[in-house]
Formats: sequence, structure tokens, C-alpha cells
Amino acid sequence: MQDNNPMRLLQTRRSFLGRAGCGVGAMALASLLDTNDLPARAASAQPQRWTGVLKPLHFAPQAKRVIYLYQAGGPSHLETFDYKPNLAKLDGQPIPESLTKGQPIAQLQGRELKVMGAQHPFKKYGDSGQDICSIFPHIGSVADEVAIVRSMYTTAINHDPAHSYMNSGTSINGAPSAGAWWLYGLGSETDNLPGFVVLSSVGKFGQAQPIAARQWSAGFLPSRFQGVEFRSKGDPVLYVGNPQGVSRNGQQHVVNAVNKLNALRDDVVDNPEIATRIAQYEMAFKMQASVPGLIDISGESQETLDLYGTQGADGSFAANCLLARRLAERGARFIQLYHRAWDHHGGIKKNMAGTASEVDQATAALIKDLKRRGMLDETLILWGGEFGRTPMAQGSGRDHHIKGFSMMLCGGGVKGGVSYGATDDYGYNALENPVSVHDLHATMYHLFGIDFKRFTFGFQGLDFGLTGVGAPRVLTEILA
Amino acid sequence: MGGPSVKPYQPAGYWMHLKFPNRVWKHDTGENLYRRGLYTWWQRTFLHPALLAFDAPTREECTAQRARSNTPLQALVMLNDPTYVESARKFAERIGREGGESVEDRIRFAMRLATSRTASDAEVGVLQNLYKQQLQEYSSHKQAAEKLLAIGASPRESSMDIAPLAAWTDVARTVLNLNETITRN
Repeated sequence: MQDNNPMRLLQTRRSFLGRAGCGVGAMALASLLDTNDLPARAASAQPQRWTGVLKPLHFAPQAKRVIYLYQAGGPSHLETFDYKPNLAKLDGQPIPESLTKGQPIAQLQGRELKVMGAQHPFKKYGDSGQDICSIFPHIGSVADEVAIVRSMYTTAINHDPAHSYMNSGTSINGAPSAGAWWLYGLGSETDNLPGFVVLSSVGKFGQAQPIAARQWSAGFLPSRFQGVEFRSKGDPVLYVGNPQGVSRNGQQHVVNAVNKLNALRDDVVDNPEIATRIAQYEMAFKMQASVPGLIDISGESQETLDLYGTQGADGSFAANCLLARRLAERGARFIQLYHRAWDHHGGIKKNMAGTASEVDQATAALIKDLKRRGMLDETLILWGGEFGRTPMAQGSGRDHHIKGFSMMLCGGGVKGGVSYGATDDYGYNALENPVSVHDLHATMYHLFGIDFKRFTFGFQGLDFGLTGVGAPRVLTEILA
Repeated sequence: MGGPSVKPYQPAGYWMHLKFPNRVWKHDTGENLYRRGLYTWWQRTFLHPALLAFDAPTREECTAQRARSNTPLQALVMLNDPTYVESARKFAERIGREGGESVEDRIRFAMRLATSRTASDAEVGVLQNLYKQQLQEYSSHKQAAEKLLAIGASPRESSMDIAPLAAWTDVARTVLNLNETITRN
């Protein structure tokens, strides 16, 4: 859907600005023409931020923000949340052909398909007795806070299109990522940090497949809603300091002049990318002041650092979890953490344990930390990947699997200590209450007061929405 | 044309986490600091941050079509990366040398050079105003002007006094940051 004809792109975006009335362009320009003086404007504390198109919301929301702990690569559901004692009994035996015949297979094509039992034992955790693999003891310690969906399925069997499907509801490139929909619909609660932030970390156990930046693109939505990627090692944002000798005031004059000239040019050429450019220069200037405070973790107690298991800015998933909490406190709407680690085609026993140790403690720490700060009820946390892995062995590992896998949700109006759905005895097909990615997105929307049927964007003559054209189901059973 | 890769300025410590093996980025000197981005050293997974901000592929996977983005991170590069600040200073020196005598003539010269068109009176007005503000600030803060003009390895070659040169550097930064200057259509 990426339109290669710039004129057509221009027209569709232009029609958006026209229809939206008080669109992005109008807003950015109004904020400039209001007064010549940026300091005065900042002092007046008038809201300049994008506040979203869904006003009012379709119904009362539970959650305010998303923290999406995206476990990229396809974590094995059979060594995380899906306990299948049957597999251990059948270990080494052929899997019934009735299950696998004609089904999509990634790398095991033409090979003998033999069952492999779970490589690590499961335990029952919490008062709710949730089945969780014992390599995740910290997640186990918050079992009563989380809902586990064990009947997810998806459509694309390779990483990149599967990421696209999980993020944008379609495996065709060019649709907006969920974070962009959230920002477009709900706006941001911060003036001086991006509303949609992406962080990533790389695991040390197994292959770390790349993630393309288009996974957080705004697609056909105005480009200012794209995710902004922060670095996870060292300074999250570079070039935040003014050039030496340039004062805050002096920089303000320069940015102000750039924006005024861009606005004058926009009057002539009417290019929506200019409106975005103006908004991004304003944001850049504000980030110069806000980022140092965001990343300064000297105010965090040793106890908190120990809880997460990080000293900060070390590139780890744990450091990103801490930064995610700090972004959440400052009003970011959609915070997405990628941990690139889970593509365990081989050595799954050692690699699952290793990767689990990279994310287990910090995941639980984030949940506990948000809870004690009174933020868990309004923060929806997701934990899961783009697909699961086969019950069949691929040597000492498992192949990609899309017919059944698990996803964990927590906070933001999600019921704790519950499980939903189930795969068959082999962990192959989502059998009981199968949940599509569109169902998941519709449920996420629901928690934010959004009716998926009423949140679409006209593009190339069609009304596009994150949840596609089918009839997704809100998972009311896991709502608090 | 041609030649080996070059290393422009890069934030200190950027390679600190590239431990395979430990490496230290030492920027080039002389002409090699000022080559086109095409020649910039391409460190896979640790691409130069300015290239990264402008969607250059990291070469971890093949790229059939480049993403196009428009982010605050790009604005930060254009405003604050010493490569661009130094370029603005050299542009300011040229404005002083070739742009005529009056402030207005110089502004029109700068806009013409950067955008290949004649500036409107309203645009000239915005930049005149900016020049006045910056000149006032740098006149009363000569040390700040000195610091700004010390960015970059190239020598200062201008008959202009430091306060006006610093003010023109900020005008040049503005002109070089315009959407029209940094995009192709």
C-alpha cells in the first residue's frame, strides 16, 4: 500500500487535512501564527499537542497507555505458557499427519515431523495456579496479575510479514502500525516527548533477526504519527545539546524562524509533509529540554534498579523496561520494546533458558513497579511475539508456527490470574476459543474506549482500520 | 570522485558498545571531513547516527525499498550535528564574501543559493528579524559567538567580526534546515 506516486500520496493526505478541519497542518500553523514568540507561547502553557480524532471516545476507557513488550523472533509457546504434558509422552514419535498435512511450514518442509516434548518443566504459579514454564519464575510471581491467552493464531509464517501482521493487522506493507493508530486516535499526553516510542534490545541466545523500521511506520496516516526509535545503549537520543555557544533562547529563535519559513512555503505548495516537518522541529526543540530528565536515572533508588536488574542505558531489555516506565510517567501513549532474540531453530533448551533470563525479571519488575505506583490499572502491558514454534523438532530446536501460540496481557483493565483459550493436545492448533490478531487489537481498542468498527481512515477509496474488514471479537472474558 | 570510506564527526562514545572487537572512532582531517554522505564509513549495525536518522539501511538485511520518515531525530541532526553547524559557518562566510553589502541582499543571496529561487518579501522579513535578534545576543555575548564559530576543524576565513559572523551562521543554519532545502521535491 505504499503509494509510489507522490502526487496521489499528496492528494490523499491533503484530503485528510481538509476533512479533519482542525488537522495537523492547521494545528501546527495555528501554534506558530498565534504569536511570534516561542518562549511566551511555552510560558502560556497552551496545549499545542495533538489530542486525537476520537473525541469523544466511543465509551469510557480503562487504559491510558500501552507498553508492548514485543518478544521478536517467535518465542516457543511450549516453553513459555502452553503446558502440554502429552508432548513429553510422545517425544520422538511422528506427529499425526492429520494435523500437519497441507499446513504452512517454514523450514521443516519435506522433513520427517517428530514430536518434541517441552524442554523445561512447568509449574503452577500464584493463587490462580497459572501454568507457566519454570524458566520464568519472576513472571510466575505475578501470575495473579496477568491474563494468558493460549489460543492465538496468525497468518504469516516468516518474521517480517508476521511482524507486519501483528503490528498493523495486515502482512502487506504500508498500513499504519498500532502505535500510530493509537497516537492518531487518542493523541498524546505529553507535549515534549514523542507519543509513540520504540526501544529495542538484542538477545545473546540464538538468532536475533532484524526488525525493519517500517514496523513502526505511520503507513497511510500522516507521517507525524510514526514511532520514534530511541537508542538503548548510551544516550537514547543523540544531538540533544545545542551547538556550543548557542543559548536556549538563540536556538529557539532559529527553530522558530525555520518553522515560520516552512509555514510560508506550505501556504504556497500545500505539502502535508511540511506540516509534519514543522511539528517535528517543535518536538525536537522540546526534546532538547525533556530528554536529559527522562534519561537521568540518578533519582531511581538502588532497590528499583535491583528490581529491574539494570544500572540503566546498558542496552538490555531490563534497561528498556525502566525507560518505558519513565516514558509512561511522562505521558507517552504507546511504548514498544522489541527484544530480538527468540528465533530458536536450534538449541532450544539452552537458548530458551538463556533468553528467558534476559526478560523474566524485568517483565515482572515493570508490572510490580507500575502497580506500586498506582499506574498498572491504566497501563496495558502486552508480552508476546509474532508467532509461536512447532511442536515438532527441528533438530534440537523448533520451527516457526502460526496455528497456535500464546500472548500475555496485564493491567489496563485486563483481569488478573486468568487463562483464555487452549490449543489441542499437541499444542498445534488453537482449538478452544481461537483468538486472531484482529481479536487482540479489537480487545486492546476496547480497553481504550474505542469501538473498532468506528475507527477507520479513508485511503484510496476504502475505509481502512487496524482490525481489518472481518468481524473481530472483543475478549470480554479477560476484561476486569 | 571515488576513494576509500571517510569518517566525519560522530558523537563521542557512539562506538563504545560495538565490542566486536573494541573500536574507537577517530574522525578524519582535512578534505575527508567534507565528502558526501555516500563516502561515510558504513559500520553494519552501528551506522553513523546521521545516516541512520535519515533512513539509510543498516545492511543487516536487504532493502528493496527504503523507508521514508520525517522525525524529530532528523531535526536534531540538522540543528546540532557539528557537520551541519560547521557547514552553516562556512556558508555564512560565503554570504559575507559574495552576498553583497546589505542584510537584505545577503539574505536573498543565501535563500537563492539554498533553494534555487527568489525569496519572498515575507521570507526575507523573517530572516532579517532573526539576524537582528541573533546579532544583538552575540554582540553582548562575544564568548558565545567565539564558541559557536570554533565548531569544526576548518579555519575561520572571514573579514566579518565575530558577532555578525555568528549571527549569519544562525541565519545559515535556518536556511539549511528548511524543508525545501533538505528534500528534493
